[in-house]
Amino acid sequence: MMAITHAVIAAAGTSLMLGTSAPLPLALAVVGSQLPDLDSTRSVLGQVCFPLSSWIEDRYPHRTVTHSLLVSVILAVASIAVSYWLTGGLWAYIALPMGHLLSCFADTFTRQGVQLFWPEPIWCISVANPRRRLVTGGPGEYWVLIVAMALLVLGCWMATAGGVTGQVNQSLGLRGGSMATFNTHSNNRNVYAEITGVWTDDRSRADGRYLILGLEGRDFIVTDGQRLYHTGQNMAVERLSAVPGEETTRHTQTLIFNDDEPGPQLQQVMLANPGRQIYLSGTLSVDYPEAIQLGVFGRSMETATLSGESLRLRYHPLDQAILQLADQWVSGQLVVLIP
Amino acid sequence: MAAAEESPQPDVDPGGIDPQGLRRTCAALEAGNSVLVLAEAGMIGSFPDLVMRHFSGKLTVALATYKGSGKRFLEQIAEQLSIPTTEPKLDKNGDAVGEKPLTLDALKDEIAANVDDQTLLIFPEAKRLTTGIRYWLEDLMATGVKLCCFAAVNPGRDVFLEMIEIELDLPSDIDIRGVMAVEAERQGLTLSNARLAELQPLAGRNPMLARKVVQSERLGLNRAGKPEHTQYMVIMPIVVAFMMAFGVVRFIGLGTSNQGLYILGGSALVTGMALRQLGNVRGARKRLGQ
Repeated sequence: MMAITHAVIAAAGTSLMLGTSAPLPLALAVVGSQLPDLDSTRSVLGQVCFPLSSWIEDRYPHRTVTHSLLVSVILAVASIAVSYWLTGGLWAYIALPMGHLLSCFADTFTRQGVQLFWPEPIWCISVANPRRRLVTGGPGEYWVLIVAMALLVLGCWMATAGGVTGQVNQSLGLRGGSMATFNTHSNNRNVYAEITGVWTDDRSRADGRYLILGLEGRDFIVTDGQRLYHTGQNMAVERLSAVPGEETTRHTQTLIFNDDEPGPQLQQVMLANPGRQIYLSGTLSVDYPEAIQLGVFGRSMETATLSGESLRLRYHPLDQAILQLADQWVSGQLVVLIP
Repeated sequence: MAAAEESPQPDVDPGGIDPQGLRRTCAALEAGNSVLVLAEAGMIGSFPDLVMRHFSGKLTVALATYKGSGKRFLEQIAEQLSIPTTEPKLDKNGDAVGEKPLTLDALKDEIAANVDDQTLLIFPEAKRLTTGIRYWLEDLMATGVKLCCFAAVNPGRDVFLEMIEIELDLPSDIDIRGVMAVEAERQGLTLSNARLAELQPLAGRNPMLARKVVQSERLGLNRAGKPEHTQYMVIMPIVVAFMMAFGVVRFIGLGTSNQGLYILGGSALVTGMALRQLGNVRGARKRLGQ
């Protein structure tokens, strides 16, 4: 096969299998795909490494020693060692042997085949009928090149959408996949839920894109920017896909009150995060529950419940809490979520 | 083995003959066994001549190739064993008036009467031997005559069942490169190592095919050429099996309630099964007139 075909096949396969579009693994896959042709002084890599390719060429037939699984294994061991000792990032470096392996496998579709199991002198071919095998530089190879290019584009697109598994999850709206997407990306990106379903109160359509704030069991706490909703209580969800959005820094902090006035601490949090929606969760003992006005939640999630002197908050908006807890003395702790 | 060590080592042909196979064959014959040497077509080359040369002077040796005429075949054997192939021609009075060739059966009897356990018969094309000759050889073997036959596969019947099988190793890539270089020189071609390395996959490790590939190169036929050797393996079933084995992920998905894995595993399984069916797509199996 031509060098360009090997390079594109390796890049496409690596992108799809590793679910990446990062330059380093794709570049390593391309380098790995050229290594088998080190046994020919006519190949690009063979001309670059002429003394070595000439030495190999004088001793071995084309497509034997350098096209073997043995070399793939050696490259894999070397890549693992390098990644372990130098960087600690295995996946990028495993692209090198993967590119080599894909390149050797692609050559099994050509007329001559390759000695995958070298030093066993067995030529491995994928298509039994020699007339249907690819000829290097023939029309069949150009078709393969076009398909490989399409797969490369698909692989890069899928990589940005969470890889093959992520894309399957997105397409089918699988809850487990959405949870995995949220868990993977929520630390540094806003994750949105694309929901198809109806409101549980009047069964009108609730379709839309909501920001996911958190998980409760297998359900999501989402917001449309105004109110919060629980996908298991306020909505009857038919399909939910989690989609990573813009970058952000999500963090939490804990506030502890011991018969304190909460206003100053809450104000301080708000001032430290201007323009951001902040949510509180936790249970507080309040000294004057009669003064707390929780308001009407309607079809949205009940973010605050009062039981005796115990006030329980679940993703309760900070600005509301400041107003509701004014002139109160409280004990307990709150987790502040700044998404 | 002891016999092999005691006797001088057989000469080895530089043209891709397996020296170990030659030594094993000679040792087996010296030990009194009949031998069936198995090798791909085109790999035997001068092996029978080397065996004959090794035993010349030690045994009475005859080498013959059956080429369609049983009588001519037996005459070849008889002439090499110095056995008369004619008999006196008698007139009606019973007087000898000349010589007449022995009949096929008479030749068989004559040869059988003049061979013993010091006789070695070498047949490079054992597959061609007719039923009648094979049955006759069975009788000769019973009298102690040693046979050295060559074939691509063991015919697995009558006389061959009693022979010791020795399978020749494939020549090395260097040997094949050497055969190609010699043939190129014979054809007046100048082939670089790069071109020889590219042509070798077409020949595999068969010296005959190596020569043929060089001849095709001279005629410019290698561009459309396809490998004719049989040293290959179709790996598509392995790929399909791997895809189907990936279906195990489906059960991991089931066990861990991961729908993504469940779907991916199922998809891989179905893809493997589909590939298996696609592998059965074929065009016309025979050419017009075949």
